[in-house]
Amino acid sequence: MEKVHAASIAFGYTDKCVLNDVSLTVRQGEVVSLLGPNGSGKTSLLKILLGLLRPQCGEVRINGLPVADQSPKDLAKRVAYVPQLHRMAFGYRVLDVVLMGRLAHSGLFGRTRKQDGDIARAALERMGVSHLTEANYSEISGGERQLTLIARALTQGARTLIMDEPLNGLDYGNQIRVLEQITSLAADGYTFIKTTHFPDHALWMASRVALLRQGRIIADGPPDQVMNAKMLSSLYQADISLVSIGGGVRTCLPRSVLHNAPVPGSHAGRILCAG
Amino acid sequence: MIMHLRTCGLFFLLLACVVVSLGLGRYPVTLADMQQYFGFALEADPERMRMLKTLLLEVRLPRILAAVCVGAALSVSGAAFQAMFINPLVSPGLLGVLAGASLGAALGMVLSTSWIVVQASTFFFGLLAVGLAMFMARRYRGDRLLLLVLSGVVVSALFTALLSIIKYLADPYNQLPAITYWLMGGFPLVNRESMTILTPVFILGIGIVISLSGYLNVLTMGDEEARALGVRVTWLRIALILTATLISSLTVVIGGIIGWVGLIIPHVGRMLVGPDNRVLLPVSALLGAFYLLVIDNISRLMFPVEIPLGILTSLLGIPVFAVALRHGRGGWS
Repeated sequence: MEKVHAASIAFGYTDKCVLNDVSLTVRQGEVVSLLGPNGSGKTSLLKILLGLLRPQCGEVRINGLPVADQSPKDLAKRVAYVPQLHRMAFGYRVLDVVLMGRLAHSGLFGRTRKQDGDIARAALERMGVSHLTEANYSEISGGERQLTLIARALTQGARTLIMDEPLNGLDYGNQIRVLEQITSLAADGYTFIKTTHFPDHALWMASRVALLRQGRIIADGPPDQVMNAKMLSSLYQADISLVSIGGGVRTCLPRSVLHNAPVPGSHAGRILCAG
Repeated sequence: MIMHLRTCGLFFLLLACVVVSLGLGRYPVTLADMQQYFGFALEADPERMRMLKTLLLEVRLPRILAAVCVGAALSVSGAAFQAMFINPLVSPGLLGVLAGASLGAALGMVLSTSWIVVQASTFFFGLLAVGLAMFMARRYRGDRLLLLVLSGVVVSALFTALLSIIKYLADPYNQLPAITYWLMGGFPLVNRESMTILTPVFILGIGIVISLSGYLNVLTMGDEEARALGVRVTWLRIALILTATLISSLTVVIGGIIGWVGLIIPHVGRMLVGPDNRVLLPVSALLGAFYLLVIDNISRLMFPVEIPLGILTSLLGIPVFAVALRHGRGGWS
């Protein structure tokens, strides 16, 4: 079942081409990671999928309906945006932040109703942060903020979540917690399209990876098929190795680390280098 | 719930202040007089009733209404602008409405002796300045909010310079003092006719801004996030700016330039009820109305000669602001 379909997208400014002939089809329940160096057009692609930027060529359809033809409210009920971790100017209550997701369902003056509060509380419960309902958003941790923003996306009623660097600025434990929540939501049929700067995150949990370079998708497919040392090295212009750590799990490392690493004890097993 | 109690408490405080203000003045009016007058008592002395009518309906009530409307309008506009521009230093004059209205008033006073013309010119130039700032901001590509702020600064500077020219050319014996006095702010020229027309406009404008306050919280997230949440950002911003400009411009029409209210009151409101604009905006309106009414009473009663209101709001406002900042919860959040 097709969910999000972008067809031959081209986007640029007068002096610079950002995206060129990009096509991407994402099915329900997929977790797609967009990988690419700075300036490769990842964020622009996300904004085009969200309808925040208009492409010069091509169009985006969600469930067959062109994004450009839909009102912001209708679009918000289908696709939600989880922004990069940010500082909010005002310290709103966590519940009020999540309730913003119900604006797409409210009337002319944006008033929320009683059942909206119940929906927001349920979303916080789902993300495991219901104890923060009354807390001040500017005083909770980065990981809790990210989970709150995901809860807000769920409150919108959207089944597709578009995330810009969802793990940026989170500590390691919080990164793992957010990734686990994403995996669990994907199992329930939510679709994720996210950018990341860490190929490892794609290896751990993405069902699909799209590699972007200079505004073009150079590879698109399951991580174990698309991601190899040669591809990543050429993508990031750095010497990168992919290392199998057993159980079919791989991780990537800079080659310099692999060769300079001191061998801890003489009987330590050699690490297997793939690629 | 606590929020609602506070809002109700403020409302009754304002109401009490209005009643007390009716009784304050050179000619003493007691509570019993007011009861008699508004209760249409039959046994009342008709001579005294006529005098009370002039005093209450023609003199004191319009002035009280003016203070209440102007205070509420400036505070609500200030709170809305601070949220919309995500900036604590923003006041209703940001986009040039006050500079434009000042020029309009001065121009009206130089070119005409009719009060209606002065008021119309004040209102028109206030709108013109903001229109010019919005037009300029649309001409350039880049961060919308930043461009609006910059255009507002430029337009304010332009209209202030034009105002200086008018002052320079004005007749120094009659017109210049009138212009200078007007720009200091105050309500000595308020009359019943203008307040009968303008009060409903104020109520409507303030009501529109407050009714959009649910969207204001979302606007503080930034344009892209707000759009992704389903808000038509451009239209919403235009509606808010135009409404806020309309009522800010009207405050100059009836009271001249009254500074600091629109900047300080939202901060005091945030200290009281927190940053949620759905609560903050009505609370700011009530606080602003109360504050300006008290200041206006001081301005007309404290000294034998009336002190211009704008001077008092600045003199009293700055210490209030200093205290507010000190007790604020970590800056302005």
